[in-house]
Parts: sequence; C-alpha cells; structure tokens
Amino acid sequence: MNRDQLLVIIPAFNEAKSLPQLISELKRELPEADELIVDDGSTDETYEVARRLGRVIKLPCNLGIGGAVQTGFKYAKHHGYRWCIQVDGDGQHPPGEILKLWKAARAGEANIVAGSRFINKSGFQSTWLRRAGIQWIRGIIKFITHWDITDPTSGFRVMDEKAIAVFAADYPLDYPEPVSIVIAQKRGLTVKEIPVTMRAREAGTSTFAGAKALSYMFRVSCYLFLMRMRGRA
Amino acid sequence: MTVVYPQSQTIAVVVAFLVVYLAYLLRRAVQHRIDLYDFFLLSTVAIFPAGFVLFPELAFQGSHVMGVEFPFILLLSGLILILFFVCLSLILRLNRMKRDLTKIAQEVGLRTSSQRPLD
Repeated sequence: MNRDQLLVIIPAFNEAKSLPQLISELKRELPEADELIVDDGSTDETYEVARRLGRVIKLPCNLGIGGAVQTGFKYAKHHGYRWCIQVDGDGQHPPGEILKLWKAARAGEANIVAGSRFINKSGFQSTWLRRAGIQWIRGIIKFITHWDITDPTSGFRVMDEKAIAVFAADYPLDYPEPVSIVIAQKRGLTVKEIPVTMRAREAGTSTFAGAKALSYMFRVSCYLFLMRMRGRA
Repeated sequence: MTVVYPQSQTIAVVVAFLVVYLAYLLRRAVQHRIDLYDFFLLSTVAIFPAGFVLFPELAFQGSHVMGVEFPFILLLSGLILILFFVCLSLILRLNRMKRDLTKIAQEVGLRTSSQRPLD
C-alpha cells in the first residue's frame, strides 16, 4: 500500500478527555489525513475513546513519549506513508497549523519541518522556567550541531519518508524531541522551522515543572553530548 | 612485613558465612532463580573475604604489592570494586531489557492493531 498521504501520529497517555475534540478538529481541518492514536498504556478510558474515534494502537505497557511515537513511525513505514506528523494528545498542537508544516514539507524544503512557537512569539509561550530550559537546550544543540533550532522541545514536526525510515529504526526513548535533532544531523537529514501557534494543554500536567525541570535540563544536556559522542565512537 | 593471623573465631564466622551463603546461592541457581553468571558474581562477595581470612600471608603479600599498609583496606577496596561491578552488570542488563521490552511492546501493539479492521 503506497499512500501519498499524511499520517497524524497522536501519542496518548491518559488523554481520554482531550482526544474527542482533537480528533474532530483534525477531521475538520485535514480530512485527507489519516489519524493514528497510540495509546501508551493508559489507565483511564483512552483506549475505549480512541477506538470509537479511529484507528488505534494499544501498547501493552507505558513506554513513554519516545516509544509511543516510534511505534507510529514503524506503522507509517510499514504502511508506506510518505509523510507523518506527531500531534500531542493533550491538545497543545492546533490541527489548523499542520497544513503550514505539511506544505513546506511537500515543497521539499527539508526532511523534517518543525513548528516553532518562538519565531513569531504568538500563542502559548509556556512558563518562564520552561522557556529558560528550552533556551539552554537550544544553546547546547547549537554548540553540538551548529543548527539554531528555536524550539527544540517541540514534537510538532512533519517528517518525510527518509526521516520516517531513520526514526522507525532509531528514535530516542528518553527526551526524544531534542535528542532526535542530533540523530537527524548525524543521519544526514535536514530540519527547517516554521512559525506556528501552540495552545496550553487542555488536560493533564506537564512533567517539566518544579525541581524536575532542573533534573530534566541536566539529563537532556548529558543525553545530547552522549548522542554526539556515540557518533564519534 | 608482619603477618597477623586471624583468630579461630574469625575463621569460623567467615567460613560459616561462606558455606551458608554459597549454599543459599547454589539452591537459587538450581531452582533457576539466578543464572550461573549471577551465581559466580554474587559468590565473590563471600569468597573474597574468605580468601583474606584463610590465607593471611597472601593478603599481606597482596597489600604489600599494592602499597597498602593494612590488608583490610585492600579487602574493603576489593569488595567495593565487586559491588561496583555487580551494579554495572545490572545496569547494562536493565538497559538491554528496557530496549527489548520496548521493541516487544511496539511489536505487540502493531501486530494486534493490524488484526483489527483499520477503518
């Protein structure tokens, strides 16, 4: 099956409340796209809700965002999708913005077209602590790759066939968004950022809060350098 | 170099621990609760101190070669090294299991989803 179509991968962990609105928005804004909900071992009714809404993969246990998204990449590769995009199940990524990213990807501007909320600085900008953390990670990625990625923690990215194949085989399970940028460079992929507007999450809590934020930044930094060294070893 | 021989009570306690601990590990290994690699790795925790007590001359010679004044420092360092090696081995195995578990979970998810109608 060769689909010149876009697969929207929606990793969902306990997102039963926000999924119906997200899927109805997606069907309205992108009727030509296919949606795939990856239920990452949820303990609420996410799977039952997802089954009513469309196609769903139920993971037998919680793998985290990296494992869930990689499952989507494997599905996209297996079913011959030319494009895929990750849209968070918490409603932070407005479906209306996908077309912008997809248009740039179809024009062949890059293998990965990422949405950045910090280019035009419109919409939800997150807390100052998270922004500081993102700036730190941006600096490290710039130091390692010489790429200036303004929103390295954004998972709102359209990927082409080449990127799908790379990430279906090798996608980081921990801190996937920033670490995958380093992998992308090592594997010869190109990345382009497009300004998008994001929203605040509709339900659930961010893991990037309080003392966890410092721990997150430290561990991400270590991972980024380790990924860089992995390429040299 | 003055070799100080351990007292008979010390030898009795260490040997008793060695026998009981090795018997316990061997039982676990026979029951397939731990594999042979775990058995050898964990048994060094008892064999290493027992070697120091049963062969004090060797312990003193070893500490002399290493430039350590007291053999018990060598014993402690050795035990810490063994502990570190056990931890390292566990971490490596845990990481490999995490990667395997991820692959298996993804495969199970993909296979069970493909058995259902997609649309």
